[in-house]
Amino acid sequence: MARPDDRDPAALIPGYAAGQLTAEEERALFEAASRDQELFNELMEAEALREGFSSAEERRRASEILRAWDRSAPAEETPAAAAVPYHGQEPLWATLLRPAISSFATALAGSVAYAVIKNIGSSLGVPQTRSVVAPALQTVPAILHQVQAAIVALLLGLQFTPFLRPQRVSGEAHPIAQRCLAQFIRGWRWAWVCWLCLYAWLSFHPQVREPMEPITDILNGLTAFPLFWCFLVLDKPSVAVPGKPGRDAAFRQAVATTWGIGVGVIALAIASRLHWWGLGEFGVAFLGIYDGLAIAFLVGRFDSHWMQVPRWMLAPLYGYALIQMIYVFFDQLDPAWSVYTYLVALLLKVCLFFIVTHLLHAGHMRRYLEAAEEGVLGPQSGQ
Amino acid sequence: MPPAPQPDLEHEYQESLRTVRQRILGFLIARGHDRTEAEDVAQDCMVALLDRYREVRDGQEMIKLGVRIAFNRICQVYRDRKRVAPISEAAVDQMEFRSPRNPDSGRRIEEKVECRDIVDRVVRGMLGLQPRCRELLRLLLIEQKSSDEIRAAMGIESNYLYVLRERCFRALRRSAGGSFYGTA
Repeated sequence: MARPDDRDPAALIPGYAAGQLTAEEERALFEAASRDQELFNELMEAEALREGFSSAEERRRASEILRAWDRSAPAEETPAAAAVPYHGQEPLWATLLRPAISSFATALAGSVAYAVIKNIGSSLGVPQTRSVVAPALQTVPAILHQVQAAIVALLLGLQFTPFLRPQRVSGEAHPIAQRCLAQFIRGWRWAWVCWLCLYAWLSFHPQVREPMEPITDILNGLTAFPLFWCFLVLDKPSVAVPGKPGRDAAFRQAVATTWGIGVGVIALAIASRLHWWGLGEFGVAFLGIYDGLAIAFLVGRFDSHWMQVPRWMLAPLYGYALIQMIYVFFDQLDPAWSVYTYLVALLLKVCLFFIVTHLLHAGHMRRYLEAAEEGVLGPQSGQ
Repeated sequence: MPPAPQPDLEHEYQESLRTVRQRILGFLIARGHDRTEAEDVAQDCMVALLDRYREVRDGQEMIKLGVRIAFNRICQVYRDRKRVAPISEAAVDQMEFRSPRNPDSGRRIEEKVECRDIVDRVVRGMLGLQPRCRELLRLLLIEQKSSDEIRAAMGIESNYLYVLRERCFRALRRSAGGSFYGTA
């Protein structure tokens, strides 16, 4: 790799601030800054640094402050709790159970509120809406599910070929980023496996599926699990390191929480399908929201400037998240519109695949994870 | 005084002056100054630059000088805003300066105070960074180590150092609140 400042004048800014540029480099920087307002602004900031640290007295003072900070920081960072591994704090089943119960309870409360409003409405003579849950996606011909399953299988298979292979992270320079990338890829492939299972299941004739319709909800809900995993890998420190065994505690907790909510939501969707407790469409609606949020959270991470995904390209991905949320209303659409929406969703899924594949293949994901390991995503950086 | 520049150089100087003015104006507006104030500051910089423009050899030197002048002028603007009351004798004593001009450094009191403010903002920003970035910036800005020395101290490759240096600088600026200058 060539030195970045061979082609990028912005890379000269730190050298300018430290007063380390050669006359030639300085010339190149000023020339570039005269053409580029953004670079000029950075140059002005670097000028402030250069002036500020030109005083030996100020450098000495700054050095003392940092030394004092380094002396005090380890003592603050090593309370007993931080040294205890995550599993020592709370059992995993408890972390999973709490969100599962709370999401279940929330939906039940919503259902009660819905029943109250419906009864009040009917007592006032307002006509009731249809409350029977019709199996979603029932209106879509099985052939479309088969096509979708075939496309998903193809895209999943592509991930195991040398074609569009993800850029590797050097384990020597970035051991954490390397493991994060492996975690992300694992989660991403599992998402496609889940989608494949879902569409393979939907490919069966409706008469075969109907007695076991809750399986659709289980498979549908499971597709969100690896997507949440991928999001959390990008969002939180997900790798434990020898000196800090509890470094991934927040990640594990977040995974357990989101998956726990997923379990609760799937249970509610099944209850809706089976017409238990008068839940109406609530359970299935929650499942749609859960699936949509998984995609929205993940896509939101792609908005980082390190990923270099153009904003307009994110629009279809957010659109895909929205389609997940209206999944419950598929059966209420005109059959032609159901098919149309289904095809749009298929197209957007393919878009999602190619954008993530591009991020992995072009190295944007690698750069993001490396930057996260270096702590330069921002003061509160994830990795 | 050096001789007046040749006509073609004169043209280059005029172009450079226009560019510098435009860039200073852009910088100030990006920092939230209103246009009138930004125009005033840019104009002051131009006057200072015109006083010295015969000292420079070409357009690039003009821009370099323009950056230095703009820095000083902008700092002065922020100093003037903060100066709600004149600095008392006691305050001056506390700053350990005995006269308005320190013979050791040639800096005036307000320039020293400005340097201190900048360093404070930078150090606060550094405390918000990850240890790796903090270490790199400490070696670069405070210890003033060369690239080779930093590479040896941190055990990293040359190419990686350049990438990390740029990223840490951006992170530092964000961590310091977006700018090392005072409040606009």
